[in-house]
Amino acid sequence: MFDQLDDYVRRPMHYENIDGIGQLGIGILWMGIAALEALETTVPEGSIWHRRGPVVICLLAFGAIVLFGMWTLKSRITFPRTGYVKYRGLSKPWVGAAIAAVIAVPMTMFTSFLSRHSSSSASLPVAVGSAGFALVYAFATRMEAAWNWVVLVVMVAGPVAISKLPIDRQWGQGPSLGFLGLTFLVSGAITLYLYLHRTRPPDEGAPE
Amino acid sequence: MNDQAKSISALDRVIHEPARLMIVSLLSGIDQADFLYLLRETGLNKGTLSSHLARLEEAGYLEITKTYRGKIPQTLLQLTASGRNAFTQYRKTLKDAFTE
Repeated sequence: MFDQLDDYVRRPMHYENIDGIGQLGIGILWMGIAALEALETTVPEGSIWHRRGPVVICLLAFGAIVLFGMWTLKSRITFPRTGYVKYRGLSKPWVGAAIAAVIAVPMTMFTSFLSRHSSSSASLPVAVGSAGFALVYAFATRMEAAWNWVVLVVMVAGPVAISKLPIDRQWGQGPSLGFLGLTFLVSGAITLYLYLHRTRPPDEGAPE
Repeated sequence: MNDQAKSISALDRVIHEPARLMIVSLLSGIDQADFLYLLRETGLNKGTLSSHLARLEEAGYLEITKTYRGKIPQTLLQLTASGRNAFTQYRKTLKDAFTE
């Protein structure tokens, strides 16, 4: 009975990821970061994209647009179909995003340190980075469906395989980051498709 | 009456009803949810859910706010401080009863 009660208490937390919109957001965000990294490595020296300030402003603006897009999708799709939930305290989604950012910053610094000091190849920092992403993915999806495991394996193995390809080094970790973003995007799209398939559209104006 | 029976008889009857226990459990971990969410999660029909919500509101455990999402009516539900305390106490009493 206690287990069943705990299950009901935790159920609203699982609801946050029911539609895959969070994964879509992470995917788009990382693909954007990968595009910025690629841009930074391809534009000539002295370009505005080599300065820290414009890049940070661009990232913040992009993050805000992605968050706004996610909220709009939730308002238009999820809330009318399966209901609205407002979280409290540490279970609020933005707290999760803040914790992820706090974890991501030292991890990025660590992987960047490894990539500078790793004598053999770029595979080690990429493996560390993708393992971190895989943890975030496993936590967010709770690996509820069998296909989540396939995504997890692709997420870990894909970037490492890319880092071994003879791609021009000037692209840095952009291709690996882009691949990780793409994996989140595909997984989010599958989750959203399944959600739309399994839930009914709302009866407009139906009384409660 | 032994201690276990005493503990069980002290359980809050408003919360102890299975459907209301489900509703209170769902609302205990969040700030608020709407009627549609509870309808889907509990599997109750609209009438039954409404009556249980009314009973919880009557006991002072639930705050019901009627609002609009665009042009569509929306009913927001939130446990009051008293409702949260009652649920915490209920879980404690239940645990004590079965672990003694």
